[in-house]
Amino acid sequence: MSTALLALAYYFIVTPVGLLSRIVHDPLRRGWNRRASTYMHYLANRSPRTDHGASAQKGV
Amino acid sequence: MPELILGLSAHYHDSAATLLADGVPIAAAQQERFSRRRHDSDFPADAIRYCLDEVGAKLPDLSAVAYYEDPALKFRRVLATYLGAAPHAFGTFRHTLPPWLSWKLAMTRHLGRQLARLDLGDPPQIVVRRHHESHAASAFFPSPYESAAVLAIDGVGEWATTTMWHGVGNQLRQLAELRFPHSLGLLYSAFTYYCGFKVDSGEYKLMGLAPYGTPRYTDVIRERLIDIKKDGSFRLNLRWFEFLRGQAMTGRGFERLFGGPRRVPEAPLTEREFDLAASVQSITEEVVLRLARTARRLTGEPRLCLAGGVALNCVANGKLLDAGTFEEVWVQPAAGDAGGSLGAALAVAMSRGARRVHVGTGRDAMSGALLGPAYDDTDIRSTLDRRGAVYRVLDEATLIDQVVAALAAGKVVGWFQCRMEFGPRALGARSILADPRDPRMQSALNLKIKFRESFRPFAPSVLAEDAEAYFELAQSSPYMLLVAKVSPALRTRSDSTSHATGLDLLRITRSTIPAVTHVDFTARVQTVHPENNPIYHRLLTAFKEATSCSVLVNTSFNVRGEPIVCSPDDAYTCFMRTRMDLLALGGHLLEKSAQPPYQDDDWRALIPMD
Repeated sequence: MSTALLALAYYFIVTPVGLLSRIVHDPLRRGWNRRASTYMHYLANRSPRTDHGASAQKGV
Repeated sequence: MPELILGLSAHYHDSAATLLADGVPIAAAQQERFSRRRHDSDFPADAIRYCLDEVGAKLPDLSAVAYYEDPALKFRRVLATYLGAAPHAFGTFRHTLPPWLSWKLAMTRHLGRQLARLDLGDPPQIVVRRHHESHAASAFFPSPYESAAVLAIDGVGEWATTTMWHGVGNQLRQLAELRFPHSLGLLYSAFTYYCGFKVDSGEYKLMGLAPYGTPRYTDVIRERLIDIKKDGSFRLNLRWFEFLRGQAMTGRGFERLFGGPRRVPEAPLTEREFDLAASVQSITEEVVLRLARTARRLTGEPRLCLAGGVALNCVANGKLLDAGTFEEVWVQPAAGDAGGSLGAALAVAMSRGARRVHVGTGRDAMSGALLGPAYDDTDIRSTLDRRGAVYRVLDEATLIDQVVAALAAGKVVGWFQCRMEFGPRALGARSILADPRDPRMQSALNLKIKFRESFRPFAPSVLAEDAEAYFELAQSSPYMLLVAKVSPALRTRSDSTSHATGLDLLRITRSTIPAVTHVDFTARVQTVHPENNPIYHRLLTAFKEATSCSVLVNTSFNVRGEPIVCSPDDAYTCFMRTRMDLLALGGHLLEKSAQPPYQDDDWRALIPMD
């Protein structure tokens, strides 16, 4: 893939989408909240995984 | 034939393969040991061949191949990073997007093609497990515990950077997670980079450097770089880091905060690097302790299992044990990404109803981490004859007697026996051994044998039954992943009697086992158990009988930048390149002075510095 094509994709698609999306929601959740008690994502009552075939694919 | 499952980690760093038979690990190895490229990330073709050879199996004999992370989920994180970092990340976008689009996104198909090229028959179904699930599974399922809290902490896999789990029987339930870019592993790697060491390999050096310094930067780290909550959760302030934008970890922000440019690799170390290392180590310990307290509260379990790259921080592990939050801690010996191959395979095996047959025996399922290839005396003799080596063939008792006599006389011995270790530590199968009582040994080993930095400490192996007499260690440490203080009875001076600073601290003899006593009176202990490595236990026992000392210096059988030796050929090469005095290869004993001249003057140039 040529650098020029990648540059076009980056500056004309990724950059505007990234800048606009960050106005609404930062996909990386970078902000600090000194008053928050936690940054942890607690997963209440999450069952043990048994879906080992969900992303499976036959080799070759 | 038992149900065979092959686990793979590949295409990031530390590629590896693991083979399970009915849920029990029977073979595991890192690709780097065969390819001789440290942290090799390529498809682990040689490691897979070795694992299958161990039981005479081919690919159609496997019921599944398990891959250690979910490429689709990881790509979503990569896309989010592009969006989050725009417009400043074209460099990383240009380098990382093409491989994602050409093959990484279709990883299972790619792995299938690579497996097919091994010419070992048609590969079976390829299953993916999430990166942290693989780490958590590698921590809990092989542990000796029926139930436990589990913590996985690393740089990043897909999104998760820290996860908490509750393991019961053959089930793992996830309780909580922290997500990229907020990562304790990446924070530590940023300081590793800034102090002039290589990311993903120099973290050990930073940890070893920490006791030379004063943690005078902890306040600025806490105020500017990381916001830590009571439960151990945290966020980084990405303004000060560069890893979202490109290949570097830090830039001008760090330079402003910490008073100057990054240390140039191999430049002399200064007080600043010592203090930075001490500071980030202190922050790491604080976060790990808080996370552990949360895991204890959420699960109520008195035992903890650890994995992920941060679990290789044995200083933090030792502090965690000392804190008493948990009664016992078990750390996966291949806690980094190589162990992901084991975890992915175990996660699949357990979901298919495998049983943890070792639970209740008091032992773990890792066979002392001796899961790699072994070489019999015929293999060894054939190699030595081909290399023109001069050797004697001895029975085991005579071999041990002669090795003990050499060690007691201050000689350095290469020790190559039984199956190779899985994971980054040498545990007495591919080790260089020496007498810890010699105050000059630490410096001699670093400069003449390992060709590495003078500040780096060496670790002790101690007879498990005598560990209490030498170290303040509350439990066994068979995988050298816990740091403990040397017993006060062995110390020859107190902390307050020294005014030395920095590397001058190295010149002070602190205990009766100075070669393994770090500047803060600690040691990274390996307790040696007869059931894990009988011949190594017999060697230590014989050394104790001869010297009244139950401890040996145990460092990995390699030189700086090189993977640990795998084969007798690797061992002979390393022996001849360094100033080791003796090599015990199975039942063969080689003396350096008896060997023919060895011409390999340019070898240092062939091994990249780590």
